[in-house]
Amino acid sequence: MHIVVASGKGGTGKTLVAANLAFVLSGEKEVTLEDCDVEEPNLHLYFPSSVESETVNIRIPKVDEAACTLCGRCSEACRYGAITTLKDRVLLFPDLCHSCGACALACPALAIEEVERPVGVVEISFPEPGLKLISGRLNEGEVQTVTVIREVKKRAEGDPLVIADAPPGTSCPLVETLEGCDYCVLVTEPTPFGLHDLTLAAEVVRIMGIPAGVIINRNDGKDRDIVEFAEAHSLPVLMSIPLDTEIARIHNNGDLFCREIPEWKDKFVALGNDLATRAIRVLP
Amino acid sequence: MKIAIPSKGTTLDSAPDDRFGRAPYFAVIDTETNKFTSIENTAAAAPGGVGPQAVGILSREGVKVVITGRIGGNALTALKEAGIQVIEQELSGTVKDICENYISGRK
Repeated sequence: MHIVVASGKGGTGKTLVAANLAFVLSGEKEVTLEDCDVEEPNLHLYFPSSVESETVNIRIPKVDEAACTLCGRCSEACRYGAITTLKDRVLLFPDLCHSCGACALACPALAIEEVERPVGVVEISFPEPGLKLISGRLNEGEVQTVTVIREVKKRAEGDPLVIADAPPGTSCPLVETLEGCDYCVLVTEPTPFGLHDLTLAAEVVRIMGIPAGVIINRNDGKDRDIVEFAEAHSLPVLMSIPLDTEIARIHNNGDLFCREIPEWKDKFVALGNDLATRAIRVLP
Repeated sequence: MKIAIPSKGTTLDSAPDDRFGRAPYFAVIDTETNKFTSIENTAAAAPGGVGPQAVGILSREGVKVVITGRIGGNALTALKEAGIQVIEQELSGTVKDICENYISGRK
């Protein structure tokens, strides 16, 4: 079973939900927790542990200037403007390159070879018994977010229970994180921004055909708009976490409120069971 | 010396285009021969990275100076690498006006 915790809006509590859910369920079975928010990973803060680190590379062209005839075919083949043929040489823009390899295929002089360039790292750790944490981190200034997310997911292939902490937003990084999952938990907050971005994220999962439910975090009781939206879009409200200074204090200390408050541990166990039935129901 | 101005049309009386990489044409004027050529910017409709591609076109054309309204970071880098001088200024009138102002300013 593969569950993604997403939100649309940043800062609604994706990491809070993913970390606590993974922690509680890892007491009963093997759990793999993925930090797919590779531009700003933070799950490791809740699970400090020694990590095994692997570099994520992409392939970019390298031009042999002696063999290059300056014909410009590589530049014509590139859809991203990453390789420009000037009058006297070929100019590369490595951060525009999508590693498609078209330039090397198009080169009649065979002057282009592909070389590796690091864009991020994937870190694997086993911070709790039964818990495997895979964190992706995109290097500063890089844009190949999806490549790093893909590498995170690759390292969870075949794992029985995967919980992914998705990046905020609703663009390619979220879509890549959602690809192939069984269920999506949309964490929101009872604010106009929370509702606005929940609307966008709900649309993404609907288009992708992924069943989803809502968790309302920091609920101050003024959640009518969110509840009405959820009802209108057939999204079950899976859980409501109150606006509570004790929960905030524990979380902001880098601790897990399910570890500190037994009542919440039970609620997350129940959430895990609920998700298991909801995700199984839709499996073929 | 060849100068290039991003243009909305194919003649000397065409209006300049404020954008560099997305301009549909470039007006190229050779200041020594007074010869005018209109070059189609074949990169204009590409999804991304149009700035550097447009620089490639101008570089191969032998352009030495570009007069433009707005220009992106990658295009600027490419122009610098290609040894093409960049003049960023507000563009008004026709490409001919801009060219004449540039030539008279140099005298």
